[in-house]
Amino acid sequence: MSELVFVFQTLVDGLLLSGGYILIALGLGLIFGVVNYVNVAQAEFSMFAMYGTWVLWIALGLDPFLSLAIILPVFAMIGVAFYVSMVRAVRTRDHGVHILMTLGLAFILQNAALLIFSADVRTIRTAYSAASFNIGGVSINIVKLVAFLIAIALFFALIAFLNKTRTGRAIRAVAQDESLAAAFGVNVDRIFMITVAIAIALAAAAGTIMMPHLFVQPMVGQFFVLFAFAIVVMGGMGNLKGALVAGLIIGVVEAFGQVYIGGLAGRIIVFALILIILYLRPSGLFGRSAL
Amino acid sequence: MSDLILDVRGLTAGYTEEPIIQDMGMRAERARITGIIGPNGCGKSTFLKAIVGIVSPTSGQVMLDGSDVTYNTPFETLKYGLAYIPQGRQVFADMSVLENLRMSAYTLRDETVIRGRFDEAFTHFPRLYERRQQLAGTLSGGEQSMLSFAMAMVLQPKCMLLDEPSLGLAPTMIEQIFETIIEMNEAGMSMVVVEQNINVLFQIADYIYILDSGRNRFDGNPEDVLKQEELLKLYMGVQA
Amino acid sequence: MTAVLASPRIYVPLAALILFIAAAPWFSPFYLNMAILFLLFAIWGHAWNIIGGYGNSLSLGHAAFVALGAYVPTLMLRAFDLTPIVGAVFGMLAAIAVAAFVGWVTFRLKGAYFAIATLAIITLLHYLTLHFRGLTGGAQGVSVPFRGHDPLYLQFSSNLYYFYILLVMAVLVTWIMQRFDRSQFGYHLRAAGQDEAAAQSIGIDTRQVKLWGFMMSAAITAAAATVYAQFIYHLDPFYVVHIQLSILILLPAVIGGPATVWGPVVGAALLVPVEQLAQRELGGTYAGAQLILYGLVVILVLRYLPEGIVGILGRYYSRLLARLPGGDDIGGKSKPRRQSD
Ligand SMILES: Nc1ncnc2c1ncn2[C@@H]1O[C@H](COP(=O)(O)OP(=O)(O)OP(=O)(O)O)[C@@H](O)[C@H]1O
Ligand SMILES: [Mg+2]
Repeated sequence: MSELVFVFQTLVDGLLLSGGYILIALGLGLIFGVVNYVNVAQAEFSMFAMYGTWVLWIALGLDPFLSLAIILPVFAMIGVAFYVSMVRAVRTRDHGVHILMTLGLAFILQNAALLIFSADVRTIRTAYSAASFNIGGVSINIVKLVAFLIAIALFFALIAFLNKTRTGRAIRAVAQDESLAAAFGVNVDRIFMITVAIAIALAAAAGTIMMPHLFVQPMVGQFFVLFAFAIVVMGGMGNLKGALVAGLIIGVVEAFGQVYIGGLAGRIIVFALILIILYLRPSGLFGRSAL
Repeated sequence: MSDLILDVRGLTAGYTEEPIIQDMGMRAERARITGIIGPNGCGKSTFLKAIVGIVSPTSGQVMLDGSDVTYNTPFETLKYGLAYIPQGRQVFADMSVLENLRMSAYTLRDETVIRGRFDEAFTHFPRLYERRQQLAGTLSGGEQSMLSFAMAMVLQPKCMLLDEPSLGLAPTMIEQIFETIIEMNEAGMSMVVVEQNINVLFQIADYIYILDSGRNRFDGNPEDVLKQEELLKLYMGVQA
Repeated sequence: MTAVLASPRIYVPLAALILFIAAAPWFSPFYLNMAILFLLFAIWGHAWNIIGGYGNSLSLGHAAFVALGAYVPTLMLRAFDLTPIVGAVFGMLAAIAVAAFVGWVTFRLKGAYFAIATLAIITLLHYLTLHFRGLTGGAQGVSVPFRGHDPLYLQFSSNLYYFYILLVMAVLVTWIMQRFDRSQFGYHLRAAGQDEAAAQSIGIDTRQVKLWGFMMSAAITAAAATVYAQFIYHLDPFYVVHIQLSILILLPAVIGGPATVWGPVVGAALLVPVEQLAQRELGGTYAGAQLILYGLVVILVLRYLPEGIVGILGRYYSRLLARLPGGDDIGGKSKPRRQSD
């Protein structure tokens, strides 16, 4: 394999793996930008969605990508429950309180998963799992490609929803000025609830689309959420388009670090990058632009 | 027997235990302009906020066109037809002019009605139409004022409460805003206008209230108020 | 001296302490282990409380200071045969340096950034430990070389010695915190944590104050970690250099009562036994069940008792003390409306 092809292969691998992380980061950023709430347990919902997808696959033989049709609405409802029980009452308190409470929730969810599903690693390998095609020597795995495309499609769907629909506009209005939005008849509490429901559904979608090429065990969320935070910091807190670009960059950086330096160098670079960005450009590479 | 659009009695309200306004009253007539003046920090804005329900009154009564709206939320008050345009030109800075108008029409569902209201707003403020795609945060102060006016107009309220519409605007802008106020008033809109810019207010207002330290101090026709030179000097530093 | 001793505010905790010291030799290994962990988490809780409680800056990275306090002396012991008593100084210096760096980067920012940065630092350290296998032993971890009973190297024939060492440290740190609580430094840090703008307006350099607080916090954490390393004698990067430990460190202060002297102690006294017992009773069949309990407690305490447990417990304790001999003035002094009920 020529050097150039190898570079492209690494680039493609990095890009394709970033889809799930981007969706988790979008949810984090959405909740932060609109509700001003920091949810550290965001990726625990992804973890449960992975188990959900796995159960649907094992029990019903449902294709993991098709199971999105069940996972998304179910986790949107779970998001509503999360909002009512964990967010509403403490929304206006310190970010520290949010972080600690959702850390508590993460503990509960991780260990609940451990009790229910044990620590065993679970995977889904479909008939087409290994299928891939080749462009100029660069091999592209179908499952990863589909996952990536779904993630990108969900991103654009979210942006369109926020910009083109009445509810979406209300979400942005609440993010910009809660009391002014209320003055024009927006039910702010309901908007918060919808926002959190969407964010949790996005986290769940992330889990489902990653399931066919990754694996699940009770602690995967802990790692996902760190990556998502790296993306959020790099893209700018609450900046959704920034999150997309940052997600792609971080995916690629990790892949190159891993391939060219080896071991865990990719991850080390990603987390060192967080500190560097916080120092040089705390508002993120793309600023803190509002929704 | 006059025709009251807004009848406020004995309103007491504040942000903490300590009331900022006490036992305040105001009677605004339909299709007239009622002016409110008073020194900085005397509670003019708080009075308006208490009327629309942003600040909850501890006692008193607010009657809007015959219905009691005292303990309503701002949005409920708005549904009854009382629009409040806050001090300092509040708009959604990261939304375009058109999106801002859309937000003000949030509770209206009928697209044709909405279109009609937008057209009306744009005929009043052609400048806004030219800039309908621009982000509100990048508009000039005067344009933002217009926008916040236009946003209130979209709801076709029975009565508008304006909190210092001229604040921080250039003289030509002020003139334009007040022309709009007159125009809307002539078209039948009832208005309550808080102003520091007394000279202009006295030209357009039908009746004036003077507040001091959260209480009514004096009220009367502009001519009567102008006779109270002592008061004006004391509170406004106006050389009448 | 006797006058001071006559107050139940002094003699009750002192009696409890003496009882604790005297009873220790009769503890079963399970309870001795529990007592050691209690002391350890009380110290770490105090340390976290400086920045997380008083400074109101949520650190999710304290396991990084544990890691440095544990790994640095251990690696130095392995490489240069240096006693951990001296190695501890290097561990503390490393922890202080990392705290200074992270604090310097983030204390000019607001809100969640500090928490995120500390999360990044512990994660970074975790992966660095795994990556540089040659130095750290990687995922296998690293062991403290066995030297038999060698007090100069903090190695003892019985765990009881670790108990007494940590007890001395815990009493010392509690005493420091008692002074800190009433010092100007403590007051400034509290002000900086509660309302940054207001603190700055009265001339407090909030960034500086938080930086000092964070460094002090890191140093104490690392010092206790050095003793801890000798006690467990094998460092597992999935426990010692892991976010999970960061969370276990912050829980005693958060649940006990942030920004109070006794909060971390009460919190550790509650959480460590619960955790240990739950692990013994449920560990085999229901691994992780005790952590579910932890999670629930955290959520409920934050939601309904933001002042922590000492907030309520303190009231009953004061009432109790007031009834004891010499306690006539206690209720009257601090709580004027004591017997209104
Ligand atoms: N949100 C608030 N919380 C607490 N106090 C407030 C708040 N808003 C206003 N106040 C206080 O209430 C008093 C009256 O304020 P208000 O804004 O009603 O005055 P105003 O007459 O509108 O003044 P100005 O002419 O400067 O607009 C002031 O002392 C002000 O400090
Ligand atoms: Mg005002």
